[in-house]
Amino acid sequence: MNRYLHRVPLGVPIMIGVWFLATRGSWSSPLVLPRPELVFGSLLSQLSTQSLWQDTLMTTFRALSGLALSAFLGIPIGLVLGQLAGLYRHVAFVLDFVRSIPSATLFPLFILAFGIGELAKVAVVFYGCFFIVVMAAVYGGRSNSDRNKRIATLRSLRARRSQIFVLVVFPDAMANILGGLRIAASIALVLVVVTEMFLGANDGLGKRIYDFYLAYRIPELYAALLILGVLGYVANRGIEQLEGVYKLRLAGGSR
Amino acid sequence: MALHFEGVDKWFPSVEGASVQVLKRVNLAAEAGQFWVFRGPNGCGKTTLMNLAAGLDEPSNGIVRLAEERVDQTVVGYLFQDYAGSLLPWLTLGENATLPLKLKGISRAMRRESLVAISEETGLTGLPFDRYPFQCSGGQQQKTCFLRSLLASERFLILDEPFASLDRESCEKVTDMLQRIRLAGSHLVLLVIHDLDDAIFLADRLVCLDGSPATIRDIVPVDLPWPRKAEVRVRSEFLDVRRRVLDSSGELHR
Repeated sequence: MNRYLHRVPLGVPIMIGVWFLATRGSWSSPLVLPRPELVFGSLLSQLSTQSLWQDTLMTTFRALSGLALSAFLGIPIGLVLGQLAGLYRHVAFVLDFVRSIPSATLFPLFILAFGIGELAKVAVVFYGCFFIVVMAAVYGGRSNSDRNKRIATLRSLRARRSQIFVLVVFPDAMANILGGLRIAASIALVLVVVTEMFLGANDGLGKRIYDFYLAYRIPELYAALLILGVLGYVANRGIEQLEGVYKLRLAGGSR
Repeated sequence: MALHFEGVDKWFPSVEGASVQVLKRVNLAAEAGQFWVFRGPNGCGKTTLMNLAAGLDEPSNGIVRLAEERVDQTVVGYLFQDYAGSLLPWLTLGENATLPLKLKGISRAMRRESLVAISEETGLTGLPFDRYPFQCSGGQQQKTCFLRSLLASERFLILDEPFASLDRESCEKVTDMLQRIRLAGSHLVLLVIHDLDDAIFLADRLVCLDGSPATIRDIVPVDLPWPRKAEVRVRSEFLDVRRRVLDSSGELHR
């Protein structure tokens, strides 16, 4: 019995159960919280249309390109800044200043710079994710006594700097970097949906949700939200797989 | 592979901003093939001395020299006192042990072969080479580090408290392997050993360190023939060395 309890995610049936009970009485408005059976019905009928898949694909594509770009540039920059404390001191102010500007406030600027096409949306996502990844990589790149012991091993074997980086610094920083990527993935999804709602999109889940909202089609809106939730869940699982590659969970994060 | 320390001082910066002297006027001249054992109280600077010999740190004054080579460019088989911290947690024990070969670009198949060969030669068989360090005991980790240092260099070993986590049987296997190395005359070996009997047993020269900053109080030659059997521990030459060490460290007069 105990083993079963661990295997089955009890949270899902409990959540739906509470939702079901909460929509029975007359005290909850179907405009705020529609009945689950209506939502799941709408979900099923939307899933059979091509436009939902198109929207999901576009949202995923925009979020992933922004996230990938921020990882591609942010990880190396953060690692370098983490290793060179002197350099970090010089750019710390600029970093903190620029990343304090919410990316939503830069919408007009991005539209002026990139138009209302894909580039502006990806740029918003990139801006929101980049600094999170950089900060995570800065912390990952900083030296600590555990890492210095591992580096001493490699130095006694006269390893090249590149070998020390690949074999010690990078895997050691992975725990921090993946933590940052996980937060950035959630932010990417948030930002991409917001840009699709307000930055003139023709497709995407954000556009879909906004259209349903304008038409007061609340069960349909909830169905689209469920898809978004699933996307977020899949993204987190994907990054957890990377943790497995680096044995981070097994090793308890760091030694 | 001869190692020379000439007038070596070592200071470390302290938390208050001043510096603390750890080693003072250390002079050594170790020849290739010799076993030099270092002994002294905790915190007296033995590990600092080992790090200088390994070229991981630089002397504040004086010279550390390895024959004609630069001390920080010669690969050394270094068994760290904190052996557990020296293992890479994302590599298996086998991958950790063969790390020196990987750095030299030797193929996976050849590394595996060398690993099997060295564990058979030392008698340290049955180690869980496919497991990760955190899944293994301290003794298994330390034996892995010993194998790693043997695979690293065929000329120069530094073993900082190599017996700390080993059971009786493993201690004997490591001691036997070291004796074979001594007979081959191939390696210069620096050892830190606290147990006086074990220290004398494996020494050509026994270096007694003491004080703060640490200085060399005595370098005692141990001229017992190799290989050494357990019975040398009661021979009169052995007991003479024992008396001289205890006398100079003051342990005899307490």
